[in-house]
This record gives sequence, structure tokens and C-alpha cells, in this order.
Amino acid sequence: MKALVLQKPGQASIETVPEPVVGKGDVLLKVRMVGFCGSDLNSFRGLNPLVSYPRILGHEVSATVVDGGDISIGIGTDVALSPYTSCGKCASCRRKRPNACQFNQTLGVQRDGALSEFIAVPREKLYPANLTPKKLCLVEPLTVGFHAVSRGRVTADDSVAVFGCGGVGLGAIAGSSSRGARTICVDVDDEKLALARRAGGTHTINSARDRLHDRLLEMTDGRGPDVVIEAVGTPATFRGAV
Amino acid sequence: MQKELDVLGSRNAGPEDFAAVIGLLEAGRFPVDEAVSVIVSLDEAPGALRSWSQNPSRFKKIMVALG
Repeated sequence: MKALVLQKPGQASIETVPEPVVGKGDVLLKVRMVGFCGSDLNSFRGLNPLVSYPRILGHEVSATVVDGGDISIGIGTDVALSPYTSCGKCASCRRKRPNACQFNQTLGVQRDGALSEFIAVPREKLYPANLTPKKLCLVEPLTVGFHAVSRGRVTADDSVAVFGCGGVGLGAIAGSSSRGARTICVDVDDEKLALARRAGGTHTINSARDRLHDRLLEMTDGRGPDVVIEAVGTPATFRGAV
Repeated sequence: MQKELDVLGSRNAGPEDFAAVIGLLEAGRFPVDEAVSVIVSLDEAPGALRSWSQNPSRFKKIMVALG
């Protein structure tokens, strides 16, 4: 079958690879759409410390069941999927935080991903939903920001500032707004800020033009935000968040 | 320290986050079309990755349609 293989940094090509092995408890899926993540760009540029080469990329997936095996999921079911693994034994897993498993192997990073015609995935990683392939493909990237909002214990009484309106930030904005919180979106790109408003942001700050600290105080009756979600990933923005 | 700050990490996501996002999308409460810059075929995907690497701010979300 065909797949996108990153042979080494800067070298991506379509190759013929073996069809997936369907293990016990796995479901065979036809891949419909895969989204590129910022981490894929880092893998392409040789800047992702977690990836190994050669590597089939792809962890933002929508797919359709072609063979459910012994598992009770119907052929033709459209799904999103969780691309992570958990070992069950490390400190994070034993603390019931499998999402933070020390030995996690994400599709497309530590193991081959979904940019291929077919993949085999354990049943428990599948999320059937009545959504188009395009919307299903957006599920995984939005969950990361949603998880941050959950970790931040955001409520409708909170003012939340989200630094960075890329993929993770948009999920955080949508998650914060869906909890009824005042959601202040911060970025240096006006186009991203416009999209952030469409995703539920109530206020925006272009930190390349505005004085971030002053504007945040204005927007929060002088209190400052109750929750700040840093979704950029630089030392400067981390210090700014603190 | 003086404001008793809680600094929390957040890694990946869990089943409850998947359920919440699916609910959001099923309710039509996210600007899906505006969030996706371009959809390419699998054969076009290597070229799209190279273009993105040359100009990261040009694209928000690139999707690959396999079929």
C-alpha cells in the first residue's frame, strides 16, 4: 500500500509499504483524512527529539472501519482515533494518567503513523461519531487544548488568556468558551486572532502591537486572568504567562 | 510565589476530551472550514510539507485526503 514516509529530515516521499498486521483486539481501518500538526513540521525539519527515522507520519486521523474482526464495531463506521499508547506500569499510568505515560508511542512519532491507505488500531482507541471525515480529522488536534482547559479547571466565572492561536490554542479557546469563560486570545497574527474569535474567543490581543500586560488587566477588571494557557512553547511566552 | 500561582502541565488528552470535542463538532460550534487552509492528495502531501516548511505562517491546517 502507499504511504508518506519521512526517510530523514527534509526528505518526504510516497513509498510502497507492507499492509498493516491486524493483531488481536485490533480493527482494520481505511484512512480517510490525516491532518499535519506542528510536530510533523518539526519532524520534517529534524527538530523533533521524539521522532525516529524512517517514519510514516500522521496522528490526526479520520478513518472508516473495513474489518472489525471479533470486535463489535460495524464495517463502514466512521471514526476519529486516539494516537497514543500507555504502558500501564509507569508512575503516570499508576497515577491514572495514561495520557502522560512515560513510554507513550504516538502514531507518526515513535512508531509509524496513519499517512497510509490502511492502519490497524486497537478498538479502545476508536471514537465513532456522526461527523464528516474533515471534522473527524480535527478531533484529535482540538482535544489537546480541551485537555488543557480541563487541567486548568476552567469555569464560567473565570477569565482565561490563551497565548498562541494555532492548533492547540484554538482547541483551548473552544474549550474555554464552551465552559462559559471569558476567553482572551493572544497572538501576533491578526488572521489567527480572527479565527480565534470564530472559535469562541471573547477578546483578542495582538501582542506585537498592544501592551499585553495592560490590556489583560483592562479586560479582567484589573484582576488579571484566572487561568493562562500557554500554547506557543517558547521560554519568553512561558515567562509571560507566569 | 507571592500570588500562590498553580503551574500545571498538560499532556495529550483523554477519552473525556475526545467526547467533549466530538460534541462541539456535532453541534456545529467550531469554524471547521476556516480552520483548514488546504486539502491535498497523498501524492501531493510531500510537496505540501516542503511548502509549509519554507513558509510556516502561510498555512493554518493542512489536511491530506486519502480516499
